[in-house]
Amino acid sequence: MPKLGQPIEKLAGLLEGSTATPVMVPSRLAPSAIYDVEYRTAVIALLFERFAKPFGIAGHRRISAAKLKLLQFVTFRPWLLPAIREWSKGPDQGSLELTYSMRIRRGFLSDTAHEDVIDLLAACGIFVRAKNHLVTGERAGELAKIAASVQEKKLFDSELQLISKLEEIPLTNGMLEGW
Amino acid sequence: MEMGHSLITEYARTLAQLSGDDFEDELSARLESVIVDFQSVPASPHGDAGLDAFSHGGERAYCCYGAVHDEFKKNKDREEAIVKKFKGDLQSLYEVGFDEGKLKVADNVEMKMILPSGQKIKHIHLISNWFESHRILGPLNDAQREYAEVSRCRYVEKTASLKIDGPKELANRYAVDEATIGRARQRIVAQRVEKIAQSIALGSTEKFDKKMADLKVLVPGQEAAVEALRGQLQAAWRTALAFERELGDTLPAMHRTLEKSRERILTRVSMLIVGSSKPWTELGTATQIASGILQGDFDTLSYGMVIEDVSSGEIARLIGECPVGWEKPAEKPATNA
Repeated sequence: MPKLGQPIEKLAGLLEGSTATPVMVPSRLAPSAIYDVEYRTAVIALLFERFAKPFGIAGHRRISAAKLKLLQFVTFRPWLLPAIREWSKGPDQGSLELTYSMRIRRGFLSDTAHEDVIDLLAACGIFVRAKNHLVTGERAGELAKIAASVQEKKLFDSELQLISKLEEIPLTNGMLEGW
Repeated sequence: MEMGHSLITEYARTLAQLSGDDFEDELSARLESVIVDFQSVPASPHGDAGLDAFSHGGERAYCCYGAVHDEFKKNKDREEAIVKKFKGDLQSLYEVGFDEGKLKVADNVEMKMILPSGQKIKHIHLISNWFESHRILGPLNDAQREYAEVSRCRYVEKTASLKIDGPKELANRYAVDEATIGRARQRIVAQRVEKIAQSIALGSTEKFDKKMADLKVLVPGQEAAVEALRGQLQAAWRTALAFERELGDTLPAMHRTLEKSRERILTRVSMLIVGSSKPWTELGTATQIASGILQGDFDTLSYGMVIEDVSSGEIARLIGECPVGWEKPAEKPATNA
């Protein structure tokens, strides 16, 4: 890794000899959006609307919990899309591809923030955990309302575009293994 | 033994992931730790003469190649690149080169300044970060024989042996311990962060640009220095974002740790600058504060090689994303006499 030098020290040196006055506005530093529960819920709602399949005769829908976890992981990280596409196609270059896919797998499997949100949604009656799937709960309509509201207000445009691209990528059982 | 086997396998995999200078650096560190007189050859002042390192008093020569993985779509391309690179090294060692398609003697003037006087290489070791094909063996062995026929063999014995190794062979040759694995892992992290940083485009830099414009006014005559500094700060800023992205993609739990570290860095730096009568002197120590916090939160065995740059990057990010700034002193209103 090339050394970046000491830019902060150089900057301090320049400012020291000047009449500049410091300005501190800590509130300008926004925390990472991936810890925002509402944002995460909205993305889960969009993904569930798009990828969940009808289940049973009572009008329920369900999705593989692993699939939803991988989908949301990539939706928050659009730069991973090409890697997911390659991973889905299979290992062309043997061990090198395996190594890359292993990193992504490790990343999404250890995404505990997603599990926390799913636990919250299950506690709210939106989802019911059924073995390896998430099934619509008694208040699942709230999730549908969130998804509809996001689209009606034209929010999260880039996320919606990414979700459309994800629809074209087959997520194999091999990609979701480890559950 | 299973544990030993897994360490060797992991080290081989790690070596295979390294490329370019990172692969060469790791190779040197590895061989230096097991061969007493292993001597790496700096590329300055006029190249390494095709020789990356030597040992055993100059009897053994080492040439290495860490192919950049993304550059090859097919293994055939990778094979060709490895053969081409090592043929070039062998030509340098044997002091031959092609002139209008014909192999001729070509002096390697730097070699005299590298090998011990009178010493000739008896064994050439070619080490690549990829060795999954036997198709590089024939061409390289044939090339060596061809070059030896034409060469005056001033620095290499005509009968010198040739050995080609990859990550697995290198990992198997000497004992692999946790320190070796840790060092190699750090290089992987550093390499990934550097690669990600190159791909990151900084968004919303208007306020940062304004600060740098103000700085030019505040320190007249230093425009070139401020401009150079802008580039350095942005590079450091990108490094901080790349480290964040790397953690977020592969270790979400560590990403959360980074978020908390950042909050503490911001608090400490804010207190330091606001509470000081010499704020800009204090800014110079902000990187140390960031480094201290990050070293406490991140295992130095895994992240030691990147922490310093990330620390500098975190402060640059505070400046770039605006919590820390400066302004020109307010102009006094004109008064009528």
